[in-house]
Amino acid sequence: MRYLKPTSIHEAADALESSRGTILAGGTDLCVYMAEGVCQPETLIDISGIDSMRGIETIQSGREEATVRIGAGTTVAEVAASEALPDCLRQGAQAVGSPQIRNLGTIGGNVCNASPCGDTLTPLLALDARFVLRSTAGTRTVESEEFFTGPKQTVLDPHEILEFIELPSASCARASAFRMIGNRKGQAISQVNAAVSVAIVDGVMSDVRVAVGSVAPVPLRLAGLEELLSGKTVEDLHPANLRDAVLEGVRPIDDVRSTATYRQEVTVALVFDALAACGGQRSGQDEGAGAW
Amino acid sequence: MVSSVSVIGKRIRKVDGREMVTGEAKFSGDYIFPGMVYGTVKRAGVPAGRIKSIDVTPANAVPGVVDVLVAADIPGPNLIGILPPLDQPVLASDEIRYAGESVALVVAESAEAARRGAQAVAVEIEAYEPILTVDAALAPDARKIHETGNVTFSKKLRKGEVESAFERADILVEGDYETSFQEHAYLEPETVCAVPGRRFTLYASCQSPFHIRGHVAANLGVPASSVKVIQANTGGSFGGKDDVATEIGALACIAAQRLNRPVMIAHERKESIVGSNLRHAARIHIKTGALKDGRIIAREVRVLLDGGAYASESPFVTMKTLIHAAGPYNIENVSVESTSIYTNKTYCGAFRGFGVPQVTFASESQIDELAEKLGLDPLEIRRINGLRAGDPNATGQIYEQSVGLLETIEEIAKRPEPAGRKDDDRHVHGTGYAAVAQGISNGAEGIDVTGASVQMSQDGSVLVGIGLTELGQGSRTVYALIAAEVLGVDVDSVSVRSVDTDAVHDSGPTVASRSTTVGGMAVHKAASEVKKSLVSMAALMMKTEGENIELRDGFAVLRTDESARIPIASVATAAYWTGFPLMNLAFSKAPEANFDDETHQGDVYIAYNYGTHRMDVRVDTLTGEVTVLNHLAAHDVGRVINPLGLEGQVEGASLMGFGLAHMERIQYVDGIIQNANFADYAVPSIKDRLPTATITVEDPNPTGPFGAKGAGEPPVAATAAVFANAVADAVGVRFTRLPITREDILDALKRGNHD
Repeated sequence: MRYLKPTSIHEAADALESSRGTILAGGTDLCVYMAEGVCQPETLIDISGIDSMRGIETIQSGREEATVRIGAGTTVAEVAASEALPDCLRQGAQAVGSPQIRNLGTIGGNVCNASPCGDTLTPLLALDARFVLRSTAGTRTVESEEFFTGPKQTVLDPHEILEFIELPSASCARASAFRMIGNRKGQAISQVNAAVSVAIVDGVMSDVRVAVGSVAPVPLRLAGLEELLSGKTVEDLHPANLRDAVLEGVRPIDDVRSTATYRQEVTVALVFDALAACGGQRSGQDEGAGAW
Repeated sequence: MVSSVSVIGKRIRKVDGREMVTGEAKFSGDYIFPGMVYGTVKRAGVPAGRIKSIDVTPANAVPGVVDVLVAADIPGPNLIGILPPLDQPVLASDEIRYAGESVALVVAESAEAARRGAQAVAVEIEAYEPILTVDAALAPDARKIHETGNVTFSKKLRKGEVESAFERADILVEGDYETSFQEHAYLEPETVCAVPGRRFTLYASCQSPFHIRGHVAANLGVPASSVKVIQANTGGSFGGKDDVATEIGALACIAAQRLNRPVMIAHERKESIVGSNLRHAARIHIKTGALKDGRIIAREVRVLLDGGAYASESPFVTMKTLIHAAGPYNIENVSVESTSIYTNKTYCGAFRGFGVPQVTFASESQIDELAEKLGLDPLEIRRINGLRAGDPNATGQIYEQSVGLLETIEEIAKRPEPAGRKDDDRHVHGTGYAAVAQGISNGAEGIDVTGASVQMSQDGSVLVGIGLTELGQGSRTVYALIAAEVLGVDVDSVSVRSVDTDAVHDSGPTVASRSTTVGGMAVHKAASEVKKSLVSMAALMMKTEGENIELRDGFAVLRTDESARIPIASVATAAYWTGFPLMNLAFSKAPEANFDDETHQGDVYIAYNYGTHRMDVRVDTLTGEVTVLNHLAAHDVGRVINPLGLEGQVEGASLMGFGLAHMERIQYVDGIIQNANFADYAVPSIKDRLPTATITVEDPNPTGPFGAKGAGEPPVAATAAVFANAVADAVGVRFTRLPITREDILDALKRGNHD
């Protein structure tokens, strides 16, 4: 096995182009696959030494409004701790794995691993995130909703690296919240997770984004529910009112972690809890439940 | 025994706690020897079949692989197990009885190469239709998993006449209950390290080193005295490191012998789940008959235990369920039949609680059902029927003292209801109670003897040696406290050595909540003998009689004039030069069990731990999530040796019971475990810990040191049962199967709403 450690994104893109190797960032997913023999890369390209891919900053580009840019190599722990980021993303990051995993794992790794239950994925969808993909040919930008194509599958070409994640400032200005449920309270994989981002003016909701994870092959936006909620007041929120629109959008399966029926039921509760948290209401789950 | 004590009952930190948390403590996997190689087992991968051929050539071709062993390479009988006739091969040569069955050992220069080598071993197996349920195993035309058939062990308990008593009963309750397999989930997977030489040395993460020594020697074909087993610090065991440690211990020693190189075998987590024993899954039928006034007059129980592929501890677990199925109650007529069954699944054996959690869940569920039918408060029905001193229990055994069940009930009853439990449109609340009794010592499982040595040096420091192991339960601290108490020295001046089969006496297995009770008695006796020397010496030095001397606070003190005192170090030095012995090896033998094998009437255990728990829960009706608001755990422990250690045991055992009751489920599909990892097998995390409050009742046990009796197991059963009763109270639906998951709760709520 070859091991390459580029120090710039250009070197990394060149290395990927020439070797068609496998990108290693925190290694918290990849090393497990390697140990299990699921994946045996001939070349590993370790991007943890690329400083430009780490950190969170607000960028102002001429005509466009400000954008928050997160380097794909930023650790999940750094995302969880960043006050510059919206609540739902921080809460989602806090729900990933254990402290050790969050300290090693990166947000880019969580995104590119594309597990349907990834806890930063639904927050990114709810925040209208864009992914900046780098290759030797330059960069292209993909909307988060377009990025995931199946379990562990994305639109990334073999020669592309996820370099940055961008959040439009408008989405950062909205209230947001993340909720998950796992098979225990700490260090749990989501049986279902939900992220909500919503503008609330005088108790009336608009610009509603609802994303749910682990209930379909990819993290989903619930367009029907978003439409239903738009213009409604926070006080009118009730789980029963959301139920049909949630169930219409999700298509969960039975697996070793949960049943389809339970996932459906609990999605309604988690979406409600996240919405209620955005509206400042008390809800069923305490903030940050699922994290340790 | 002694009533005035100085260190017994004090809150003492674990004597080995610091080395554990700083990483100073060495575990089996930390040993490195020159030339050491690593072994990995090849597993069958199919639950049932016959080996047609094993081709090791591809494994030998893997770079780094130095040896591959199959069954024919084992010098001895290739058998391990607990109770003769032994039925488990170290390496299977013919029949495959479960998917985790070891068929070959690959040894390589690195653990990675050994793993790759194990993958490369080509095993051709003629697969059989696996027998995966107890019903399939008991079917008249079922294939026999062992030559003896598919019943591992079956026993009956008969007390009085249940049939006629049921006819007299005003109320009958009858029901079926089930519990799931449970994994021990210790932090440290099983690991051994074998060093060859003129004799073999085996460093092992294990529970019962003498048991391992016997099996290792037999399978090596050498006398037991040629094998020395040293228990390395052990990162948890809970009953799980007996059988498997003999398997990998024997394999490591045989490979070390062939290669003349040290061999380490360290299980991965998946192997630890698939290839070592689990807690028995159980199916339990109970019928209880009571009079209108609440008195239970008859109980009939049938227990079926799914024991998996090999007997392991199944016979003893079967006995334990038999004896405990009636619960901690005075019932005149009891009939129990308990049977363990072979299936083509991972074998089941010892696991903290040892069958008692399964039957206690079933029994306590039914006690609540009965109370409801009778219109009685759950505590009241337990009060009416609870065992008191002088009452015959299910085996007819009568204890004249140390039966503190009623006191534990009253301790629970007098605690106020917690505030702030108000239902809203989303949350419901419930309160549950459960009572438990658990036999202490080997009891029906055989003779119970422990040997302990206590040695005082001339500087007054003390070394304790005993054949029972520290597994995290705090037994070293208990022994240090007992020796310090008897010899009047500070706990810090007592060391408890690690178990080395060359240096301590065989003390039997470290099981059955017996370490404090039986082991502690041996330490007490040995220390008392050393004390005699010190007292005699001090008496000579003070020109008085021994009866006037007291050992305390590090001094020999004249009772009549406390200012007359000599440091114990000076007394010890003088004793040495005078020729008084400063070391003693003492034995503690528990009173032997004496019961009828047909009816199981008679004296079984030297004592029982009794307990009553209360749990208050809040259930989220939208997600099925359960929040435990309050958990009271009252136990009669005879006498508290170390409150800090006791609380640790009660809290830890409670959380294990909670895992069994709410979260943990081994998921089999076609005989293959689907969730053999901690991501998918939900062992509780630190965030799931319970708000357990330990309440102690002290009704001294005449057979234990200072009146103590064991406490490490009973809270598992009580917590599993109390959780089920609390959730049933909250949801209004009785659950008859453990674990009661959030999915089950939501499902029950939905069905309840439609009724």
